[in-house]
Amino acid sequence: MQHTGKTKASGMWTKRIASLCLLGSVAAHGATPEQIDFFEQRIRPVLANECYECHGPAKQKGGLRLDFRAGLLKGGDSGPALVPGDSKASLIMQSIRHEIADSEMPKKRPKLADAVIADFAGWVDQGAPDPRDQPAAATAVSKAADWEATFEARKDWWSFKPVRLPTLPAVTNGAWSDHPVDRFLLAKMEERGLEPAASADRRTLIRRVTFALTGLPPTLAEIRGFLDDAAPDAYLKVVDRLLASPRFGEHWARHWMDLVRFAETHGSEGDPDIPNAWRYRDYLVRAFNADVPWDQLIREHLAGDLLAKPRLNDAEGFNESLLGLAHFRLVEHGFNPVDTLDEQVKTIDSQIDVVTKAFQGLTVSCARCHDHKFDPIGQRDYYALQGVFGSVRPTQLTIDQPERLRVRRPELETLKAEIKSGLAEAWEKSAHRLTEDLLARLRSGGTNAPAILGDDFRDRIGRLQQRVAEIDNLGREAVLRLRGVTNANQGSARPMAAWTFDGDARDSVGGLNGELVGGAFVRDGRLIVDGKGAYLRTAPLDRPLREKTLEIWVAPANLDQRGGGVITVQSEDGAVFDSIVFAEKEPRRWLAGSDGFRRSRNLDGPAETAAAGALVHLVAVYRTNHSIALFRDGAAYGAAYTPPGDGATLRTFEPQSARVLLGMRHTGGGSPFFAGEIEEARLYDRALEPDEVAASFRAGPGLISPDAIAQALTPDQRAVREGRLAEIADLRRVLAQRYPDYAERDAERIRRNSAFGVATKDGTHPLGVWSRLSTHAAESFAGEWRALSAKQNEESAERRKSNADTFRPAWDFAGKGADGWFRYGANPPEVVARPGEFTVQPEGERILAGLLPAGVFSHRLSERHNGVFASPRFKVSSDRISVRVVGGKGARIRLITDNYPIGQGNIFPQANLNSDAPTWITLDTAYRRDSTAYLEFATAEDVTSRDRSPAGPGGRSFFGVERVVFHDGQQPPMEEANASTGLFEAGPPASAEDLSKRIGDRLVQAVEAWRRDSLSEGDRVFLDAFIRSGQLPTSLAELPAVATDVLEYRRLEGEIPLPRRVPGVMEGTAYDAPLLSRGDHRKPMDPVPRGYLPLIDSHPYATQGSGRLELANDIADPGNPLTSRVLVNRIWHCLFGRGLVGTVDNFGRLGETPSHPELLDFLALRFIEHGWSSKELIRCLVTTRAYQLSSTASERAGQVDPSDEWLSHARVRRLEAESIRDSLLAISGRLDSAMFGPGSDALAPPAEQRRRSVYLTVKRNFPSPFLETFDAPKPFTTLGQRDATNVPAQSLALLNDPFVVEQAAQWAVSMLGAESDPDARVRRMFEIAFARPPDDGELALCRTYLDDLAKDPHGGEAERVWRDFGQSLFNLKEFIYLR
Amino acid sequence: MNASQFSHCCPLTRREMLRRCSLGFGGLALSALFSENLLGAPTGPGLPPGTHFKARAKHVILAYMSGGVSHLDSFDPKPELKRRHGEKMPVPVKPTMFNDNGNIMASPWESRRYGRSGIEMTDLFPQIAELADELAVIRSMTTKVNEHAQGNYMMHTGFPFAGHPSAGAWTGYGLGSENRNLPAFVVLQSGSAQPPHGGVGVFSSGFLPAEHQASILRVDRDPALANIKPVESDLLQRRSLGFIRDLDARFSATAGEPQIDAAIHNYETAYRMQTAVPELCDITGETDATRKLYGLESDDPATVAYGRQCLVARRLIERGVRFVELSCISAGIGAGGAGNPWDQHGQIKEGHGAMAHQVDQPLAGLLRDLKSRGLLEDTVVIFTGEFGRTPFSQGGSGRDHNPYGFSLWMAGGGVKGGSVHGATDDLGYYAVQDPCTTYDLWATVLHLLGLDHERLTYRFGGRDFRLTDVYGRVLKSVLA
Repeated sequence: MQHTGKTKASGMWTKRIASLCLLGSVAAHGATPEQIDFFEQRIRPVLANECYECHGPAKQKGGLRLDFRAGLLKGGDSGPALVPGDSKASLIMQSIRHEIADSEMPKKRPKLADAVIADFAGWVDQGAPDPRDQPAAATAVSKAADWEATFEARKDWWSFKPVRLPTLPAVTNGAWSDHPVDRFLLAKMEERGLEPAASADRRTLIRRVTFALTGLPPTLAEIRGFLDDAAPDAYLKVVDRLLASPRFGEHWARHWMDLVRFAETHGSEGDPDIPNAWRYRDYLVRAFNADVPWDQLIREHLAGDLLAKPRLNDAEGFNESLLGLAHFRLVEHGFNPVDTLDEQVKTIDSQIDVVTKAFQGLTVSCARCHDHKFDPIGQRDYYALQGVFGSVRPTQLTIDQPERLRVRRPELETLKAEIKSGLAEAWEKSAHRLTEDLLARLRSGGTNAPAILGDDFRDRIGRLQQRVAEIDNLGREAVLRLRGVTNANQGSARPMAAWTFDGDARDSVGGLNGELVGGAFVRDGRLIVDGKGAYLRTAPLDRPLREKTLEIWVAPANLDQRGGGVITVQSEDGAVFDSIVFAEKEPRRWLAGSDGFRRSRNLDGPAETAAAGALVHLVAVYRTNHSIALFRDGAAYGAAYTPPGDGATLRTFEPQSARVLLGMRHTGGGSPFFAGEIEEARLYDRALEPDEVAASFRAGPGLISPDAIAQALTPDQRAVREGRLAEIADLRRVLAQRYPDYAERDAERIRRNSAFGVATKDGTHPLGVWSRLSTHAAESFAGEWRALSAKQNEESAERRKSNADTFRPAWDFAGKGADGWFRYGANPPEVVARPGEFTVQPEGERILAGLLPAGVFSHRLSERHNGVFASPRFKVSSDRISVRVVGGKGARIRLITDNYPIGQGNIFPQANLNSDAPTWITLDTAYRRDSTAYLEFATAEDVTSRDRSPAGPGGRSFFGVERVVFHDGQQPPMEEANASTGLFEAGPPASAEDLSKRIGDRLVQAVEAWRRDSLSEGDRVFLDAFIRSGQLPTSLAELPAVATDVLEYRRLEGEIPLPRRVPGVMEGTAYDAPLLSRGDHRKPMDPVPRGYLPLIDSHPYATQGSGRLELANDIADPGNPLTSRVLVNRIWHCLFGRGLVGTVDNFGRLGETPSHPELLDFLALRFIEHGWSSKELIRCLVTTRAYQLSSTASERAGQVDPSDEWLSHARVRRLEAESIRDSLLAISGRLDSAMFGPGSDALAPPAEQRRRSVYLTVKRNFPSPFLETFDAPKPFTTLGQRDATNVPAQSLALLNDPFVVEQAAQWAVSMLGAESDPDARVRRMFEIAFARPPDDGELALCRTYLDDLAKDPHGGEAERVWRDFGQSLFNLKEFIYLR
Repeated sequence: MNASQFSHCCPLTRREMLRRCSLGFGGLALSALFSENLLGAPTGPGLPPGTHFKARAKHVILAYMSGGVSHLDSFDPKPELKRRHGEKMPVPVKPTMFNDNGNIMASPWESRRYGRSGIEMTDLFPQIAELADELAVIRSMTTKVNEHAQGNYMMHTGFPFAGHPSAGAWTGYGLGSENRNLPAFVVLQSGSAQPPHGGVGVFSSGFLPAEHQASILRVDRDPALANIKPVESDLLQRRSLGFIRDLDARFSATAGEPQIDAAIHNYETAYRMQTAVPELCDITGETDATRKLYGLESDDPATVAYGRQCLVARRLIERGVRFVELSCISAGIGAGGAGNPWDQHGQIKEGHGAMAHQVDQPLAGLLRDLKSRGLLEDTVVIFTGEFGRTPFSQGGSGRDHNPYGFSLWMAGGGVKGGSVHGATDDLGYYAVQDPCTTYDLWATVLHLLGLDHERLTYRFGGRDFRLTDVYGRVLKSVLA
């Protein structure tokens, strides 16, 4: 930008004019330097500013061009624009003087000032000296000289001039008030011959000030207290009480929310939530109650994360300053845009629009496509700001003070070191036995595990146990016979999981233990869910599930609920699911629900009629032939069907990435919750036959307990059984005495044996190599070894070459650490420089999963640590990006293009991480090739995608990254080495025995190296293979010496608080945004250095960061002429109903000029002096005499000042939507004054709508109809000045809305109890509603009306009569208008 | 109210004045509210007060096909698709929403020429096709966005985001209402119909005063409009209103604020609406022939539900409502849900077939009925979705979104029936001949209503906004 800002640069400007003049004097024939000077200073700016738009390079309306001399002289369709020397005869003069009808210029703009017209006349009469030889260039940006001239001309506007301290005006009636504000107001009144109205009476005043400060009506006690207080400062006491009320912040926060288009959803298709947006609302409420200085709030809004001294909230333990950033994220977002750059331009436009309107009263976003048409804001200035906002990234900010989340680190480190040492010790012991084990297998032909002394005891115990089981089966059958199941086999289908809720939510068969979420609880053997968010979620499946049967006994709480699932199997993110669903498509009918109804069909079963609490038995059977059958109470519920088409085939749910839900349909859609009680649920990994379903129905819920079995046995059977059990106990005792380490060695043998087969089938596992070679005799062994070794080497070489040819390494965190990447979080992801790190599993039998390579990990100490790890900004240059990662529990990697935060589906490359072993994940980035993007790894709740996946139990989530590569082919890099590679480094072993020793020794060495922290990556892979394949002990049961430490570790880890988050932004790669020609994102021009409007600060920001801190300082600068004026005017507007500048959001040329400019400046300076305190200013204003005037206008005021611009009386105003609704609740006594927390549903039934309106959730696509009817703003831009329309829908709402009726009914009940005399009751109700009693005439009208109501044949009883009466009071205008 | 920002620099315009008074439905004068004539007539002879020049029509019915109708399977048949069925697209394919692009897919429907004008159409809409001579088909529509919510906002408001006034709101703002008991802009729903993706904001008055917001009437439910059903008996309610009026009069006298008087009058209007709206939705008085004409005797419940909307639309037009929008009902096929019933990313044959069956008879019936009653010459009927669909398949049996070329048709007052405008390429992918935009559509519709789209402006946030942003041209060739 070449034009200049701030006053210090004005000298430069003068020089520039001089140089222009020099050029001009050569070009303009015969013109004197003085004439050229005059043209440049007085004429060119006006022409450029007012005329070029239609008569310049882009357009030539009427064939006329005014951007160079010849154009003026030639003129347009109506002839020459001017006659040099004769202003009277010049068309241009006639048109700017508005002498020609239909040709008044400038068109659609205010007439030029008389002084300007006089300048033009003088100039024409002088011969119109004009240095402009050439037309201006037809570019999007104005020619520099023209823009500079325009800029300077436009800068000459009241609001851009420094705020000056005015002198107090003299007034005639000095005795009226000594309040300085009153002096300013009175002076203006006296100038116009107006006299201030009388003071308002106390009742009017307390109603006015209570609503203005708290948004609520005064209570009866408050009114009477004020009336009875004869002290001179009675009013001041009221004001101070109101300012100190918590209700103050709630009311004034809402004003601010209008400025930042507050909403809690992004709108557009699906209206996705903005998680935790309510925290920003709470932040405002707290800030206003605490009277946080407004310049501080501005700094927090722009750069809350960058402040040297953030504002800490010690009570809540978080950093308040961070919450201000949320407004950046309250934007509307398009649904999965194909063109994300277009979306980003729109998003930033909304951010610029809001920031500049709210804090500066400027419409900067008008300059996106061209220089501003009225204000000194160039198109370049817009893009200087776009760079600032583009350099930050959308995120979920963790707001906790870091020390709250960085707890227990030293203890955990210590414990972890102890656990490691315990593991190493146990592993060394176990590793030493490996050779022995392998040799035993060799001796036995390769398959059998070695015998251990004591095995004969084990065998005898096993035989006895078999006998006990046979007797138990007899008991089982007897139980089922008692329950009426004739063929006992039918009722005994074995589920893979069953939840019986005998005291808890555990799976009584397998390991799918349930976690109770959202208020679900277990009571009297049943799971209770409320239909509002309570459900049970199990641990992930431990095996794949394809063919299956879902079974449940359930009692619906009511039959009118819709769409809740009773039992579901779903993929981790809920994208694929099968569920038994109640009344989703048709009322009261059951359905086999599925993703997008792909496997669902309306079934011809009966509508549900179960009484409350009565159990219904439901079964859904999914067969491998893709057919689906639903059963109710043992009978088919409609015909079985096979769904056609896409996605209709049987789905396989993969282990570790699918779960069972009870009481919820699936994650991520609509209202999926079921209300009722669940007696028992079962999951089968096969399809039950219809007769099995029927038998199970007859058998009823309740898996047969050991006690029940024992009771069903005959006495003889029981005696035999008990005898066998006693024998078993004896044998165990003897075994333990004789062979104390039998249990340990047997456990190891079982573990190794069961894992041995898997390991030996894996050709990359050392035991796989061993298995392959073990059958070879000593003479051929070396030859076989060499052949295998050569093959392995060859393969490795091929892979190395292929990898080198195919992949472009992007980042290697093991090698170079995380340079250039961004790590966010209180416990940010950590760089682990050495291979061999492990994490302690937070639950379950396993202590650890395996060993990690070097890299960056979020969970080195805890999966409750959250974080984000993000790459620098880069241009996507490959069809695919592969990352070698670990991760799980909702953690995700995403390619984020153009900062679009909420993408989902296959055009937004992203993947959930689902492996605790390092694995390659490939993102298909072809669709986004050439986009500007960054990679982001994030723990579950830190993912901003609209379809983010839930965290694991306890809020845990984790990820770790080793490498990133770019490539075009489908496959990720191949592994160049594996766990066996190291074995081949030495020469061939002599024999299988020798190899067994070599493997055993190597394992011992690897464990030692690990213990010493000197593990190489090759040895890490080797050791990890043994850990993960179960060849080394990792379970609590096998490692009792470590278990204590692990349990203590888990206990401490569980104490780490879960982080709290708020939508926000964080710094990313800073860059300068290119100017976009005509605002078209497909036409980028040169980058514009980041900075602010030259009007305020002409220097580009010298920063490596985004520039937000600099921007915050520019805007919150006391020297900024706009900020304090705009803010005090907003407060004035809220108190007096109209700003001193009527257009509160626009202080530019299209805005109004101030009615009391000196007063505005006086208040602006005073505001700064008093530390930008809003409470102080409000106190100052409401204690003026002007504020306390009656609303009755004098006759003269009615004539000369009908709009009350000069404030000679109070303005009558309609209450805002929220105040109307809150008043209804306050008066009915139903107002729930709980502060803070997640919002309440604005569409809930009246009985559940009891909180203040500010706490209703604001959804863009589902606004509160009541509030919208009374002009609550649509959240899309800054709105400092609401409409107060009158539409019949308002009358209809107050007459018929059930919410209003409900409040009237509640009010009637309380009033009937409060006053027994009807007249007294009427008086009381009047006073509550209007802060005044009725006069006699009104009382008479009320009596007549009440008589009429009582006589009505439809009503008549007292509660009905007084409800109607109360509601009629709600309908009076006095109720919704303030005097 | 921020009307005053204007007042210091130029005299009040008529609209500013109306806005200041802000009397509910459009620009009704205060006095008219208390007249006893329940059904209003145009305010006097000659031009309606709001027009810039002579109007050709006074009402609009927007049959909105949310989700995106395939032009290739309806009003822009392409033999080339049949010839090249299964081949790869010969031109580069632009990025699509689901990035699951298949090969060229022929239309499952046959096409031929219809009417005297011989417009070529498929038999997807057999009844509408029979009315070819009434239709002006624009085959070169384009839009800026490729997703539903933004597409719906674009089509309705001229901007791809929420916050701007819907075309119906602009129409009410421009022309006012002819009936003081009914809103100027009414959206009809029935069955399981829902607002298009983007929500009710698509029908919003945006920054225009709230009285221009659409009222959503659910024509087959009771009550059809929220809060329209009186809680009290009529007698009791009249008593209440009498009491309210008496006390309000006293308050108004002391407060001396014109706003309050206006608010008082709203009660009269609200009271009458309670009768007018149920009466409007009560179609028991319609003849069997009429019911049949609108498809109300169909055995397809969706056709019956949509037919009811069409019939109520005619009743609204008869009563002087300016702008009526109709809502489709999801058939639940393909990806078409409640917010986007026509969105057949899969199963287009079944999905479009069911959707067309839903609207074909009712819309054809509506056109015939309007014509026979002489209402069609005052009414512009528009049939459009937010974009078209791709010539290549998606997922084998559906089509993805296509914003680069699609079709709509208009009929009625001032529209040149039996005409075709613009064209797409041989594959129906891009508009190639005389491409038109949503701005052009509304410039033309406003023109038919006697309004200059460049002069129908509203100042908000420092800018004069239009339905047509800074674009738009009247499509002269569509005008009769």
